[in-house]
Amino acid sequence: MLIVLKMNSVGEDCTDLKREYDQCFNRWFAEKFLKEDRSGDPCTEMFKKYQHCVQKAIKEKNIPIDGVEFMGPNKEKPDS
Amino acid sequence: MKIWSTEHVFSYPWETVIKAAMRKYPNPMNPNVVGVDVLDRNLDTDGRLHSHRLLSTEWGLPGIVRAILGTGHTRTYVKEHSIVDPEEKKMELYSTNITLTNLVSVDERLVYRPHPDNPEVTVLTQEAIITVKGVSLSSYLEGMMALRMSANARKEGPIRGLCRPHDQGLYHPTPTSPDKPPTWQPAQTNLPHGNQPRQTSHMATSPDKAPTWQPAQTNLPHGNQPSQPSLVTRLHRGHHNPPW
Repeated sequence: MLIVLKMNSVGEDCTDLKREYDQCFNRWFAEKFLKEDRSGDPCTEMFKKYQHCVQKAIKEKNIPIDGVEFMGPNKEKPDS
Repeated sequence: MKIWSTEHVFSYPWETVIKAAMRKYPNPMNPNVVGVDVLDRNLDTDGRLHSHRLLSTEWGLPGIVRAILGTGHTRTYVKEHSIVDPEEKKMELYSTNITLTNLVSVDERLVYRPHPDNPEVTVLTQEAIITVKGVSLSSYLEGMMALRMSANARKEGPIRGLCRPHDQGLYHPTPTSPDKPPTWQPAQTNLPHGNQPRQTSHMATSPDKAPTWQPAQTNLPHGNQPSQPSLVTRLHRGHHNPPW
């Protein structure tokens, strides 16, 4: 029996939206983007719905996504 | 502060490796990643795709680490920024932890490029900077973490070496259709001289100033052809707890 593993979203309620978007993105990425086909992104609407859900989950869980820069030359990470 | 770098070779062309890298999770070699979300995605004026992602990770912190760090929290978050350039055939990925930042900093940089001598082969360069702050034995912990990352990376292959346990064999993606997740198969390690492992890991302790990212030297001998990957899939290796 083949078990297909799927990834979850950080927000439990967003997982279905995430998987739908991921499927759309992966297809576009492989079949259009990597072949340098710039004809429109079919996933925009799906992404908006998914994003709305994720942003809400991030706020609810107080995940500190803002204000942290990647370390590199002359960058300091604020303590949190 | 400890700096660690390594290099992996995959016997697949760049596009194949990139497609799998974008869909790296879930990944049986790293069950600690429990959630992945895209925060933002856009194309820049040069046609490169930028993705900002949030990874949720769940660690089983060993008791002693919890005691030293003074925290029982096991859910941590990592922010990741990737840039894919389909014209130049280069994918860069930067990640950093955004929780426990008052205790530890783990910053990683990954670059995927075709091998300069063989376009059917892809080279991944990984670098990491680890800093443990504000606790005693920080230098010891940093050394431990760097050693663990180095050991993990020897096993993990295309996956970031951060807290991924591993003993031999690199894991790489097999070609799949867009709808199917990649399967992970062990790659033959490119062993140039007397079967010594190809990857180089070096650690340096720097004084406490902001590091600069130096490219790791590609130590692949010219003209070395990669061996064919094994068809045996090994998905369930034992793994250790992450170092933090």
